[in-house]
Amino acid sequence: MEIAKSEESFLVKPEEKKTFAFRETLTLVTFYLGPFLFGIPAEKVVEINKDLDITPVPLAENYILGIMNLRGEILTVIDLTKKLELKAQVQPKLNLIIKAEEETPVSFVIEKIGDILEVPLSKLEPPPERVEGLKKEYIDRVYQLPDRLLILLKIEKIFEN
Amino acid sequence: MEEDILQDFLVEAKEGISKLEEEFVELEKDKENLEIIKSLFRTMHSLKGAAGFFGFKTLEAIAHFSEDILSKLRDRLIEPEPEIVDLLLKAVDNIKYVVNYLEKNKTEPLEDRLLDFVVELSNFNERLKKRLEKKEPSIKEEISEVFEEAPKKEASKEEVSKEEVSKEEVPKEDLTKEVLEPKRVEPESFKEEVLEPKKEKPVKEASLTPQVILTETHIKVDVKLLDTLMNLAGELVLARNRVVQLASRIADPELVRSVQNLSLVTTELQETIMKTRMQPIGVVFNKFPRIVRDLSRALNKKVNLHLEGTDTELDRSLIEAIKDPLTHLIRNAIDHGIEPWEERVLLGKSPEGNLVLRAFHEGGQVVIEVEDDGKGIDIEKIRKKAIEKGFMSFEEAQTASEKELLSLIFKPGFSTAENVTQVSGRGVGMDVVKTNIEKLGGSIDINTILGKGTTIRIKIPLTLAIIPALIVTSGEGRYAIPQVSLRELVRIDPERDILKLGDTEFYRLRGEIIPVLRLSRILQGNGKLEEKNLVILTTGEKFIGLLVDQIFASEEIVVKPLGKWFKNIPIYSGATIMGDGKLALILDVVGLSTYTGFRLEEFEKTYETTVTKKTSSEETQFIILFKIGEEILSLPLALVSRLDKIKASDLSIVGGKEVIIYQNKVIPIVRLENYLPIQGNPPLEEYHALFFAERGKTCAFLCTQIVDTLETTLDVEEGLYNIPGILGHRIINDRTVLFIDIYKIIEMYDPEWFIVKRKLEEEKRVYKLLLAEDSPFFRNLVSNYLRSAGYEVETAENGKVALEKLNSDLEIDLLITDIEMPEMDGIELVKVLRENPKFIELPIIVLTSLTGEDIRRKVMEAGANAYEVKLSRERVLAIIENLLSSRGKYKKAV
Repeated sequence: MEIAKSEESFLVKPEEKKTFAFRETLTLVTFYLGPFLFGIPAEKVVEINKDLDITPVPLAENYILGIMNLRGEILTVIDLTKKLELKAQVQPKLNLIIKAEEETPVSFVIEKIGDILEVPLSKLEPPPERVEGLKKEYIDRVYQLPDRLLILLKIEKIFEN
Repeated sequence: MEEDILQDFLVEAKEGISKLEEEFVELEKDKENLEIIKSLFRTMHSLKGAAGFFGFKTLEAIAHFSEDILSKLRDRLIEPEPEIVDLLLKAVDNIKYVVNYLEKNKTEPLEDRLLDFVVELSNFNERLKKRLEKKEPSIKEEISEVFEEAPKKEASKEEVSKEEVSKEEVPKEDLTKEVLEPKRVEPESFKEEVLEPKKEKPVKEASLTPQVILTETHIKVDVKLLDTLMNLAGELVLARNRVVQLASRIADPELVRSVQNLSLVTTELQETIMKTRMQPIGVVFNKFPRIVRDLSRALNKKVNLHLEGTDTELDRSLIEAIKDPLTHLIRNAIDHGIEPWEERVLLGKSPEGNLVLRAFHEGGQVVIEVEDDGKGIDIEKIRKKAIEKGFMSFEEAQTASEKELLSLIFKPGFSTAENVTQVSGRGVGMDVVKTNIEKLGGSIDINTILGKGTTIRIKIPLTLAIIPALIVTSGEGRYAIPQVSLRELVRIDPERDILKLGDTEFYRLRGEIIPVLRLSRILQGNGKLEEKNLVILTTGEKFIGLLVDQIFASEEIVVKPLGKWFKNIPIYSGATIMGDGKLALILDVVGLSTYTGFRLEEFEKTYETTVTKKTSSEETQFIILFKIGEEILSLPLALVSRLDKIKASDLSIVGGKEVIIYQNKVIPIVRLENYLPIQGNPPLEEYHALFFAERGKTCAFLCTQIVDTLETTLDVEEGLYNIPGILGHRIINDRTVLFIDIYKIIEMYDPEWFIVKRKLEEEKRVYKLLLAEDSPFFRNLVSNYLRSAGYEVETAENGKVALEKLNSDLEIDLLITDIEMPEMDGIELVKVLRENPKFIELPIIVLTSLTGEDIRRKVMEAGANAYEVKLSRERVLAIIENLLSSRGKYKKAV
């Protein structure tokens, strides 16, 4: 799936949970940061865009890249690699804009967007004891894809100050 | 005002009507929906209440009977059959007609038709009641009966005699016949279809009730919606800006024209949207005539209220917010300001007090003034109270300035009202007023003249969301500084103009010492360019200087909040979107000053520990204490242009003079021990150097150690050291400190130093100046530099002595006077002199350690020719020269 090829932002339609005959599924927007594949529930994603005009805010926490202008709203831009203390070098290329409770949305800068996946809830597993190069406290659950592990992030935890 | 309420009523009534119409239609679709009926009932009920309040009888009656019917529907006593709904809709139509008539004529229509309708409604209602009382099993039947009868009785006169039809029911048959034609057949069909929901609606067009379309002139809009609109308009502006840029690149004349058009429309759209939130201040002002009237009656005073600038517009939210503070100020003015009329007559004032409430725009802000011609505020009383209530010590109160004392009024728990009245004087309020105004980003000021009146001036921004701000840069970043915090801009050479004391930097602004912050340093970045622009900011309490890279123009910015992630950074108050779509952070001046607070505190600590207590800002100066060998010497910090350490190895002797190469300049070294009876520096590897610069000339004094800086009065004792170069001594922290006369010493070092510019000297006689100054320190310092500039100088310790000297035959050419002096102060001296024809043309310069517009105004009002800060020697000399030469010309001309 290719998203945000053009300059314009690409709206992700929030897909609702679909109920199949005997299983519930969760739609996830996935993205890459270094070697990791992360997922965020699609209903939390506002949009993905390529506008990387970020204004730095001196004195802010190191994981805060700055602020950006999204159609008149001022968003906080977070560098997930720093927030999650990822041991990975990442080139931020896209903004993944996420709804934040009672706040203006927040943008995560990401390297590459992945597929939009629909995964059965029953197949989601608790985080393993250890994930190499990643803090466990930010992992909500994981989903085993044929070739790799998809990590569902705990958004609330990331938004905690 | 009546008009206003009527307007409100009409707007509300119209809303009610459209709501009723919608809901009746809803009700027909969903008969079981009790919520709709309840809502209908409420709407009708409030309409009735409002109509009753205004005494609109017809309207009230229609609403009353409709409400009655609705209450029965609500209580499920009857069902919302189309016939009932029909009648109610007819009622709504009639209400609409009356409301429309009211809007045009301000009075209810007197039409028989309406009366008849009221009667019809009433009878219908009566019959419903009776039927219900009979408690017949089938309500539906009963209703049908009612309907059976209703048209009959209305339709023909023959049936008038029928039992249930009373006399008032006599209809205007010619008018109603047409309407009732179709209805007459209804009862039959109705009976048959009683259990079926009736689909066929009664033919509305047949109704004779005039179908009026109400013209809406005002509607209510959610403020949130307006905010969103404003946001979008802002975005449109940004998009437009980009298009404009692109169009200029393509340079197609067609495109340029249409972009210009787009541009104009966008601007207009944005302005219009902003206007939707604006309201004239009259909305608030117009409430005051009543309050003033009631209050002046209660207090037995006569007050004329004048409203000025009622059409001054400001943001809705601000209008709301200033109401209470203004009410409070007006109460105060009437209660404490304006005297009872008997007293006014005795004072030779008009019996009616005048209270002016004035609003106007000034520099992107709204100024509101509450001005009375009452008794003014007695500063002495405040002084007394300040001591009584423990706000100030006796000493502090004695030396406190008028401004300082007046500011106490805004302190919680401070009230000067002698008697606590019902209206005011409980010592609460003014502090709340101030807090509220400040919350809006505004400021408040008091100006008072005892016996003449008081003016309270409030300044608030036009809107909360849009503020004028100065855009500055630091490195790559742009920052906005709200204009309210801005005092002035100074272009400086940091190398030369910034004083350094440890880590703290200062700037001398007309003799005042202001701590300087470097924006690049605060932001922990590195300013790319040399920071040369000093922005003088005020927190309301103190001044700070902020060094920035570049200064751009002032702009109107839209304040946007920052996320929670930035809450713990006090130096930002928000962010804004600039014309190019990029963002700029808005700096919080109070936050800036606290952010650097630890340094200031440290600085303040140094003078708290000293024996000399800081008295008032009036005559205090920052002085620097330094050691040469074991001796402690001192001089005003403002005279030192720079402090630095220099290596002994860098000193050299060139042409018989000791010099140092400092920042690519050869700077002569002055060793104080050569001119003063002191030991001198021991040989050191490193010395501290005090740089002194004037007119592009610089020299440096060597000292062993910088001891301290402190803010203190310059009271020195004279006599003990009667040596040129020493102004006096004082004990500070148990040590004798010598205050040196830097000008004298430099003159001793190089007699030519100051002489260069005095060319008048040769051609003219020597002018005689009189210097009135109570502080020996300043008296000696100033008279020394005047003498070395070639003037003959007489001195006086106070205004009285000065007056005596002037009146003797000393033939004084020019007077220089201090303000704060015992016996007779400077302002009084000037006033006295100006009243005497002999001295009307005497050039007078007032020297002060105070700065500020208030003082300048007072000085100039008194009649002085010039006003200068004591320590700016160069400027003082320039002014003297200027005044003397223009006077010479004047004399020649005469």
